[in-house]
Amino acid sequence: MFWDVIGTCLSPVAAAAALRLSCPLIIGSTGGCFNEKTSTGNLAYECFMLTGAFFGAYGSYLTGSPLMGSLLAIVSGLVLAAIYGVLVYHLNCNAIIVSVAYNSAAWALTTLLLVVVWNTRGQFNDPSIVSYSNLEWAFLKPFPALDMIFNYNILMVYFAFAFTFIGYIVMYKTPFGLRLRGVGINPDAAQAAGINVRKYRWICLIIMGASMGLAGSYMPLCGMSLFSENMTRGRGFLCLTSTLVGKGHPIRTMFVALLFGYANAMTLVLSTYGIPTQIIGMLPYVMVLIVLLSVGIKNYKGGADISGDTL
Amino acid sequence: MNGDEYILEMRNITKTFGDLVANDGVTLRVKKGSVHALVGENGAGKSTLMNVLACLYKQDYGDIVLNGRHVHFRNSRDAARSGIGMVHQEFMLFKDLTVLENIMYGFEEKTAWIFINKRKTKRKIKEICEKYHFNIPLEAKVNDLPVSMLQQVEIVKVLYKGADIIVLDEPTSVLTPQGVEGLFDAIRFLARSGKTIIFITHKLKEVFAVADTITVLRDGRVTGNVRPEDVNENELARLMVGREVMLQADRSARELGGVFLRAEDVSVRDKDGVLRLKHANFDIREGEIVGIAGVAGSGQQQLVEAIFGLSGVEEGGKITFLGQDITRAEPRERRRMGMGYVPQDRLGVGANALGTVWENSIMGYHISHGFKSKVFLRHKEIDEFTGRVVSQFNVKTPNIYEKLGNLSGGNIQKLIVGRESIQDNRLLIVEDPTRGIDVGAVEFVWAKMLEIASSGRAILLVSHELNEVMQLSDRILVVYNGEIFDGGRYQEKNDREIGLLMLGGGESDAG
Amino acid sequence: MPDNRALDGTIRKFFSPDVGIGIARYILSFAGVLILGSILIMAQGEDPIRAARLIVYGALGNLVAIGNSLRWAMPCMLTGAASIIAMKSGVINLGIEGQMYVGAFTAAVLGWAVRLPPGVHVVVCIAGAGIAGVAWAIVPALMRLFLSVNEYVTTMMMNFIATLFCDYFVVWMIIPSSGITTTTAATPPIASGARLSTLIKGTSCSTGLIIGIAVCLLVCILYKYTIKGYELKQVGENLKFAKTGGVNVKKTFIIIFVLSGFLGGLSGGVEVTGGYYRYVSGFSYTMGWEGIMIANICNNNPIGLIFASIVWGGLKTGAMSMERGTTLNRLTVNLLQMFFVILVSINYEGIFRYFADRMKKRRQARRFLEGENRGGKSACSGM
Repeated sequence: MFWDVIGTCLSPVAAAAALRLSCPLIIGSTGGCFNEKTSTGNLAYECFMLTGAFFGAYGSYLTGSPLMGSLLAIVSGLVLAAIYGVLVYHLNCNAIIVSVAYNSAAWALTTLLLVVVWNTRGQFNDPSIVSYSNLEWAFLKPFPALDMIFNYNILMVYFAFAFTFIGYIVMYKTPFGLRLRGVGINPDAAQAAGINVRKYRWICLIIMGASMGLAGSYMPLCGMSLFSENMTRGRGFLCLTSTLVGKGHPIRTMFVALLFGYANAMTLVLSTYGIPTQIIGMLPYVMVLIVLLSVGIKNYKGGADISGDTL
Repeated sequence: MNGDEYILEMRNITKTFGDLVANDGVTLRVKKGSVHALVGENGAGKSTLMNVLACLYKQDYGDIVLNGRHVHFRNSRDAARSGIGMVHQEFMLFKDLTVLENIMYGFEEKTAWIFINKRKTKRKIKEICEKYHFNIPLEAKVNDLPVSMLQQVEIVKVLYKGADIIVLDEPTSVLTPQGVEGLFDAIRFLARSGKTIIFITHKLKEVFAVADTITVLRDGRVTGNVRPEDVNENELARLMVGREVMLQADRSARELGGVFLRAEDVSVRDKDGVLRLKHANFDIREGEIVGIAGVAGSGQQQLVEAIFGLSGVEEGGKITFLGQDITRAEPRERRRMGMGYVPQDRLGVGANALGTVWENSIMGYHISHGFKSKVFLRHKEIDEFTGRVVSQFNVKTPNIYEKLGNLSGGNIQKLIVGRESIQDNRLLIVEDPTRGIDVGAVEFVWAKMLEIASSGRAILLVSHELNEVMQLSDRILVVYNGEIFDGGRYQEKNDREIGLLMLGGGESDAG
Repeated sequence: MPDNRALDGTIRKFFSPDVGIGIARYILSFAGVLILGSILIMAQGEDPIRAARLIVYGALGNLVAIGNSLRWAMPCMLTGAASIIAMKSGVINLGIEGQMYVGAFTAAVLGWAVRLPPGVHVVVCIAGAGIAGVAWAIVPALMRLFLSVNEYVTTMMMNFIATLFCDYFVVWMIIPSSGITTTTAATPPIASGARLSTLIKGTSCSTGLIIGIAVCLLVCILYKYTIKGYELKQVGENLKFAKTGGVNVKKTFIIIFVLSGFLGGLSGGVEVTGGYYRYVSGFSYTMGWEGIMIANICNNNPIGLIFASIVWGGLKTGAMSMERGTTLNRLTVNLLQMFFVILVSINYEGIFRYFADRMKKRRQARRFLEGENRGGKSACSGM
């Protein structure tokens, strides 16, 4: 029994499932890295993602092309991010309150759209929502394990890794990336160096909105061809968490997202062995706490200073 | 006057912040290749002037002429491109980035229009380092480096950006004596290589060590343009701290009682780990006003924080208050024992602008004195106490429920002083009690403080107004660079002697 | 005359520009919501006025409607109070949802598994719920205090852990051991002695409402009349001021987390003992989050919270009636609520100040230039 469980955990099936489940997390959290690095204070990941999921399905439904679906999802993310930016940067709203309201409104908004557009509740399942088709790579065929993991995935899965890599290059190899990292570390110094801090925050917010929208469109278009209420089920929060744990470094964040995807896959795989899904589902969050705890202990300097910076 | 010989002219610069006039028609002319010292007390408007130059502030009025041409910078990058480089007093560095990244930030060399060309940038920085004899590790992270190294990074940064005019804002305040020597060498070398240096300081020794010309600012106005060979320390000190209005405090002789507070070997480090107060030893006796004079940032802030328990004291130091060891006690404990505190930063620390007048006036009182009930606020008592503060100290407020932020600065100051004075504290620590209030109110506050002292309590007075310290104090201590020097008893030394001590000019008679 | 002075203060307070802006922000936000609501409803092909009438009728039309409105106001008051305590002192407790879950779970278990005399049983259940909430809040509190770990991340993580933790016990421990068969993940009903009595017949409006109002009043008293409340408020508004004033900031922070967590747990306990009578997985939807938003709407004023909660609860029941009477979905109302939250949180004061400042600067500049034209010559000749 024990060895069976271990075997299943390490099997290519589990790895393949983990890869697929972590794809939206990777795309979303890579965008989130930009958000995190400029400290925009935006926590509305869930909202962007859920709205993206709806518009992904809707775009695909209208045009019959999953690419158009993703494009519409990106646009929806952009619009939401723009509204957020106006509210927080120009009208001085409290970023946390706006984020909470955004996240709470997302469910209502998408369900309402579900009713208005397709006149149904719960879920909408229709062949007109065209999913991405699986790509087949002939050269992977001779290696069964690799074949199972890396073959027959949709375009977005491959894109996720490319996106992370691009994110890394932009953030660490270009002047733009250097400047945006500086904005997050010390806005005053960036200002003194002649950087328009608000402009950089805006750009990063837009990147985050677009990529969260795109990440949302993965769910209806990854083969299921449906949209359901609260389809993302907290995946947006997982994106937020992985950027926080990865400290905004795209590659590190990607590994955290993969880990979350893996834990997610385990809940599916291990439940057949009678291991409580709740316990497995708890793992990512407990892990986050442990990471924060260990970082905190590492930086522990004796006394506590309330007015000091927090992590 | 021939304008061509000046690389930089700032004409009639005026800059106000709300009601505060930071620069009032300041004119500054700087010659190419010279080391120009800009001296004055804190708050004289030196940093404001330089921030206007670097386009971090926009002047309300006035012109900047660079190399004979009028310039209007749009932002600080613009100013940097025109050859103005500023090294701020608080370093403008990004702590998680490497030295290399910090230096090139905002002015990166690129390949293919997109990517950072690290090799080219590095080569360029290495050339600068070699030319001007700097030695900094480019790949190290900024937070791993010592302060003196960070200063070099800042200077290399402005050189990298192509600065011809380098502004150094109080560069020596964070350095050790050896570090200061190294910095002066670098400054002299830079000037020889054709760069122009504007050097902001309030330490006289440094001025005479490096400056070619000196501009003195006081209260936002220029009080003198001199050459170091034409003046001596005394004259310069007079230009810096001289006051037209010399108020007289009405004081009578008092009996001094037993020791209230004793500080033994108290040293304090700031949050960056720099030792800001070095082995301070002194007593405060009953009925005594002990005045601390010193240029801002000499360590008086740390001294007060240590006595009031806001920052920790280094191992070996000991503070006793009324015979009890309070070295490690919380402020709450000290309040309860009868220690009061009027902080310098009145809106940041001394008061809560969002709260009402009564909320602000009972802070501290609710601990040191306490209400009849331990749990509930007694509004009758509060009204009575607040009423006393408001009426005795002439706080102009429509009523005690007014939001404090709506009061004027002077009234807020009077409220804070009043709150701490009326609490019957045994020892009152007062920082700049008369800052920003009118002359009549100053006399009033002074009289109050003398009255407090003669009623068997003690006051530790920290002020940046030398006259205030001299008028009120029974005994004067002078802080310079974290060390405490004896400034004599009341009227034992004149203002020039003490002014010289404050500026580090008379270390020989350290006590 | 102190009374006169107080009255004078109240009158002045009432007419001060701050209050003017405060009222303006509600009026503006409400107008914005009305406009957007009309558009939303008309876009769905319905009459906005009819929809509004149905909402009002559904919320206040008869005793049952009022009872249901008050029933939904009950959790809002408690979660809102939890949020107010935290926000007033500058702590961001995003973990009210999780504290609510563990509170509800504790109450349900105590109500089902323990046998106690009726009156005592309810008290034990609710107190247990509060203590569970405290236990849940203390982890982020300690991490913030000793390790400087930002509390909003930890409290949020604790939310997810809470729901999964409770579900785990329900599904894997309680359901198998109780021997009942159920399709939903829920505990068996609590004993009748552990239930709060119903206030309005035919509805689930229970004495929990009284607890809710009492808590709001207590919070109000805490801030208005007690020394501790005074210190808590000062810590939130200016931490350094409080610290130099002698407030023990560390202790105060722990108190804030404990109080906020207690109220969060309490809200869960009241939901179970006065609403659901058992723990149902995922019962709260977003009640904990709503508490944060309502607290923001009423500007962290506990008395305002009572009214805001009643309005919020009324909208919830009214929305259901609107859904029955029209083709509209009740989520329309939900969306408008969120829109209101966002509009209210706009810093109108800041915007007002910004424009006022700019006008002042412009006026000053004009005066300065005029002065210069007159006095400019003499200044030049003086050089």
